[in-house]
Amino acid sequence: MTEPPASDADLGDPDQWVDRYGDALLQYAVGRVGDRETAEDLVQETFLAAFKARRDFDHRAAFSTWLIAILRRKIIDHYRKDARTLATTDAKLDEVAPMFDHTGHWAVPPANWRSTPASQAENTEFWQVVRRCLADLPRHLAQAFELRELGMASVQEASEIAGITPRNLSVRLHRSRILLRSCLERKWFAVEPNSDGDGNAEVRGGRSVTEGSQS
Amino acid sequence: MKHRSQLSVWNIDCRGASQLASDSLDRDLKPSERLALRIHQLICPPCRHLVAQFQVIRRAVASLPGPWRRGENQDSVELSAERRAAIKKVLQEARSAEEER
Repeated sequence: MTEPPASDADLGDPDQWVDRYGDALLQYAVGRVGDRETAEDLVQETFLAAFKARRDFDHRAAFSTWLIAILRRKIIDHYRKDARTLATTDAKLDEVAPMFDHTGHWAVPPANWRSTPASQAENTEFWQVVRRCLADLPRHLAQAFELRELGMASVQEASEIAGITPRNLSVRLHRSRILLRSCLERKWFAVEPNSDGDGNAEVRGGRSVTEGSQS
Repeated sequence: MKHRSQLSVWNIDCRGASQLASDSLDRDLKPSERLALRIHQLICPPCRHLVAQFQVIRRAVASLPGPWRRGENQDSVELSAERRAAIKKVLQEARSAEEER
């Protein structure tokens, strides 16, 4: 079922596009890029690109789907640009190497996190700690984590956006999760020192923040 | 050769186990991987804790409030009035630029 190419009249006033599809596009972008400002920029670029290319829209898909496809392209470009500024490659730098000894065992064994935030107030504090820990991650690792866990992107989509293979993405996700858990353990779940080092160190209390207390 | 690589999968260290634990959040592990991880966890309390921690983190992040969760949450995201106006202006300009030609 092919329809004739769109005329300007078919698609309505571009002003209406913004009212009709703007929020949905923003929702999509915000789930996939680092911040709202960037997301809004990308939505703006998308509308402009759509306007310039409006005669290419062929009605085979819904107009909203077509807009999302353009936005998706913009997001990928955004990450590509970002990736070029990230000088290090995964092979050159192994961010989690210090977490393990030369035999591949934990240098500081993960502890048993006894308490997770319960009250709303604790939750808010916990979120702040999560945010700080994410901010401490190397950018390309934070990006992988955010795409997958905050943006809920599929592995396929996240690797496409980051411009890396799924295999590479899994390496980055592993590293980001290991670094994040280590940071949370230090900054939120205060570890009870356990001298025998059998890895059964227990953690108590959610609230105390013991930054950099680990030796 | 194949035989050997399969055997080595059974004998993973904490680093290997943590990679599998992370992978399990993103894809279904192969039966051999799942078994290797399970066996490793039996003998390694820290790696058991790690798996639990990954779950805590995933749940915590999933319950982050609007601006942090970003995306598929209950509070809908909306373009600000200023941005909406700015986009319309850009589109107007593009249109008049086209008409002039």
